[in-house]
Amino acid sequence: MNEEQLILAAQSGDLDAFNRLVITYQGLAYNVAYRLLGDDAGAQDATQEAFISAYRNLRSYKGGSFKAWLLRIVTNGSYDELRRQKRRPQTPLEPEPLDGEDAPDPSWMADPGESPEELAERVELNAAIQRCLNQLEEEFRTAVVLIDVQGMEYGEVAEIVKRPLGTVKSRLARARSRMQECLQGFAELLPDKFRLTGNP
Amino acid sequence: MNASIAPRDFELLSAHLDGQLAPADTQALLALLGAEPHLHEALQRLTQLRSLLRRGPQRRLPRSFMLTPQQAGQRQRSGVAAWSGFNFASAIAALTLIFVLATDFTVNGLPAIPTARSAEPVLMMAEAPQAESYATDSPPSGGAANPADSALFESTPADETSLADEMPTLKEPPAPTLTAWVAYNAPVLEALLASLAVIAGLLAWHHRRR
Repeated sequence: MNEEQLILAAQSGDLDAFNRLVITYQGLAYNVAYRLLGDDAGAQDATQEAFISAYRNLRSYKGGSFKAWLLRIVTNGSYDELRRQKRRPQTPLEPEPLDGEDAPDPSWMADPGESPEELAERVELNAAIQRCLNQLEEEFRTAVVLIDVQGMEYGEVAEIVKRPLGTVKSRLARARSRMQECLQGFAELLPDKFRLTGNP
Repeated sequence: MNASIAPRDFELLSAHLDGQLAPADTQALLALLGAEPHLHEALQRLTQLRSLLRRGPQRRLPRSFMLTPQQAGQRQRSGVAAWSGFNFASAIAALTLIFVLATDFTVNGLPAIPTARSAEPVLMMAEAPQAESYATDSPPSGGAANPADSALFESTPADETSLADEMPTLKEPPAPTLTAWVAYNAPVLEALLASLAVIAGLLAWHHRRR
């Protein structure tokens, strides 16, 4: 069955068909939620809630890009989760790692054949990116996460955020500008090959 | 960072990087890039930034997010059940409230119909015809043609005792009726049902908001 057929079957209550859509999109949905929230537990909650909400509201999907429809639910759910966390801040049981990563074990990033030094570089890079993303306002963060981190097209993002293409371009430019400024603050942490050259 | 670059130029550079400029705009920008070295540097930095962000690793999935039948159905069922329950409670409370108000109006609004306090005399009046039936059953005075018949109607001490036994049953307070009870307790019932309706409505609203 192709995606359209799976959606039709899921709309008529076929949970297996819906779960095949979940398998297709869960990696993207979770990574978007993680980059928007910067927190693994929150990203898991937001992703799970997004899929439950998508299943329950599947009848409101009237065609178009299913990926955009689903990611709209994920981004809205992630910001809801973020606001919930701000209202009820939780103190972690263990101190946060210095590199800002909530996962103490960075093995999830390891590539086969990668040296420990290279892995450490990538962990630092990832932490620096996430810190800078966390400092952006919601609309700018969404633009840079979807386009630069996930490599999506402007048109898809415009559909997700329900804004004109020009607004997406403008937001992305401002987000990139702020990311450049922020990452310069982490220049010492970043490996040489990742340092941004030139004076901003 | 890009203080020396106008925001509009930076936006053009950003869009150009992703191939989102119209051909005419691209030509104009390329000409500008040749003439303005700082714009060219800015474009290089943007290119590095995008490469840096795209190079960032994707997190491995910590678990599967496939829905179980419980997640897909049970949540919905429990929600619907609770919602229906609140709706039902609200409807019952509202109907009962209408019944109580209608009863109250009927009882108090029409003077001919007794209230709870006047129920006893009215019932006593209602018993009067029954007492009269005893009188009509008695022979006309002095009209007893048959002494045997008249003897039948002569009261004996035993008969008086049996009548005396029967009389108290006539004077007993009547059994309370539902209408009288409702009318008597109408203000309390109204307040109770109004509170119930408001609480059920608030719970339904709260449940829907969640």
